[in-house]
Amino acid sequence: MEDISNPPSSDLPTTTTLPTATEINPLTSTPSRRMAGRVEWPTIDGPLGLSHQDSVAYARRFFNFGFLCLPFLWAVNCFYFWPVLRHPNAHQSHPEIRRYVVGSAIGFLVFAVILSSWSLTFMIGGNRLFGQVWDKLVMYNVADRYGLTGLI
Amino acid sequence: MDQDSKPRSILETLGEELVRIITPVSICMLLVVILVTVLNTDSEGSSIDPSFTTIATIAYSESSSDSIWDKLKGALLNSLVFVAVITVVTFLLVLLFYFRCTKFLKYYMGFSSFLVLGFMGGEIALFLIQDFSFPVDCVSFVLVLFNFTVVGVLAVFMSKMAIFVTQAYLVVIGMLVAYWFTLLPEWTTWVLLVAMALYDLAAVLLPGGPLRLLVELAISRDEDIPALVYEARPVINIDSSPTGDVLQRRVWRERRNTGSALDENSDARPNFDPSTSPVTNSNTTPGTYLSVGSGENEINLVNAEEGQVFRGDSELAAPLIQHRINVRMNSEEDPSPSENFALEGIGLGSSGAIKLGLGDFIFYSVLVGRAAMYDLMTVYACYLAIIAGLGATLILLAFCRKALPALPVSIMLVYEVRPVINIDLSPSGDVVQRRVWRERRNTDSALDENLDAWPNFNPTTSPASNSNTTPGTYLSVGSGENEIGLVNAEEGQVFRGDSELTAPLNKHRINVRMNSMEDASPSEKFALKGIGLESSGAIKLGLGDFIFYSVLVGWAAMYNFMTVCACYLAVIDL
Repeated sequence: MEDISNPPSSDLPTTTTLPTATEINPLTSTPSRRMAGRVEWPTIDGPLGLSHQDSVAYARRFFNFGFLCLPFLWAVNCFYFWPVLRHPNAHQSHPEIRRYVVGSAIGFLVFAVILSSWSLTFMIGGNRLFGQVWDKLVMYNVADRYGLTGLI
Repeated sequence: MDQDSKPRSILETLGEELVRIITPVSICMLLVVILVTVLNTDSEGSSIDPSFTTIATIAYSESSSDSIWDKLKGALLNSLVFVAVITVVTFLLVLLFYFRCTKFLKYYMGFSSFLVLGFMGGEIALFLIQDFSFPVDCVSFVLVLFNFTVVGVLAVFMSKMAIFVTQAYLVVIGMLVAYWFTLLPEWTTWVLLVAMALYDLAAVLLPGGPLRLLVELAISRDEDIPALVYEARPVINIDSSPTGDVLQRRVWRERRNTGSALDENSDARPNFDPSTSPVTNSNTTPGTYLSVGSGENEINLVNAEEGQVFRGDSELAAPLIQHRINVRMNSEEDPSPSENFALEGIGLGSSGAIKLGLGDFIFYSVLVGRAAMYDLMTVYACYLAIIAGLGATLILLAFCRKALPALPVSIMLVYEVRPVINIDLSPSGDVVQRRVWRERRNTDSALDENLDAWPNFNPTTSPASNSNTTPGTYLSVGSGENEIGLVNAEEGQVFRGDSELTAPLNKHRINVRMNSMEDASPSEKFALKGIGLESSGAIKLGLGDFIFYSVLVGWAAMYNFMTVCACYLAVIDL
């Protein structure tokens, strides 16, 4: 997770001077943690990501679309707005964004639990637990039955 | 900021930018190699279903019983058809872009990614499941695939998705398409790659080439291309955005937008037509940009590729991907031209992001995947050749302010080491001479060491040094030049028998001269032409280096030829 942190000495730089060549490498910089514990950027991309105003719309959109059987979208939502999750008491962390992101996180966890429990039961239980239905449901038989691998 | 640390930082950021492009390319290639080795272990070489017809095999269906000449003719025919289709597609792309059908193209792009991720991804997943007898049930499989596909479509469709997610999905799309290409017949694949490289050259450099038209249109309109392009994360200069504004990561300084939708009739098989578009250059007038500073030049390099995917009976044309490498240059306000390092321009500007088109991913991966069907040494050699070509192209991009094709360099390097098909493509004048040595210093040091009869080798690299020249005429081209010297120092010693022979140490230096943009007349001078053309430079290479290189390659020859090729490439890279 890469965040960009602004230099603590954020005096207003004069535009006449050249920008100093101190470059923060996003790959190696530490997560954004300003001195006051503020979240400078709501997204994980830092200054490359969204501003605070746009983030609300995106967070809401991701959250709503996730209800279309898209828990992965909730996971992406949490990943994208990780700083918001991470610093709940930050000064700039909008409560609106946080609401959606937390909702996405909860939804993803619930869905993941359900799906993994079903899937693991299926895999481990196998024939003994399900009987005939197992052979009907397992994917490689379904693929053979419908010739799915011959489409291309 | 002193002079000494500046070149280091530039080189670091340059290396960083290169790594950020080369890493996903390598990952894509690796995934394709893994897929090929895993899924093709049961069949020898290319076991193509005779009914596997795509647009690339429409003219000739290769069978193993044909003679070599028949195979070659058939492959040439196939490639001709393919390139013709690609040309038509590209012209359609230009046309659609000319009529500003951008929205349509975006939807088309999303739809094509849906097809690739959903159907191709699903099929490959099914192959894997069947091979490993993975007991997943259909409900979870469909759900996971659905999630994966929809999020992928959103990632490539929306402009403001998490960068990592978008990059990952683009790599996956490239991998999937490349895997499908490796299913083509063998000779067709190899000839097709060459044909695509030649097409790339022609379409970019010829005045009437479609890619060049595309590029010029986009430049004139200053629009964004709705295409699948891999964007590397730019190295951000924090001080450049003091106000904390959101940096526009995707700065399409390219003035060109190309969108194309292609409808083609095909049979029930999917096929894929990538075409490469040129890498272009454009220069912008100095001005503020992203509150960084004044004065910036921009080099745009465009690789455009288009691809189509057909599935089923419907005519689906998924516009391929347009590749673009953006190189931004920051010219500093400092009047001294020494501050103006063009190498800084390789995405090193504060707003720079290197973009590489997905078609390049695909073709590189196809090449390496096809090589994986033989043995691993071929893979390694091809991989080295491709990375060398890619690096050379990226560096050339910084200097040549002109549209350049990205495929030919890599593919030519690969074909120099391919033992099966020897196609001699003599480098064109645009191809950079990679190995240019220009020495400034000769350091001789004799080391006396008592060793056994084995030679040893101590390479050391010395830091890059920078020297600034005052503006002046240079090779009667223009005024103002900067120079970046990259120094590689190698020290080699060879001991033979009981005697101690020491080979003088050599310092090799690659000098890159660049022209600053202060020149009013845009000179077509390629800075890399400066390498070795200086009148006062004499190229010297110590004999120890000759001996060492030859020893290395000679050892490799004791194993097999592919080892020789791999070692040769590695040596040349140094």
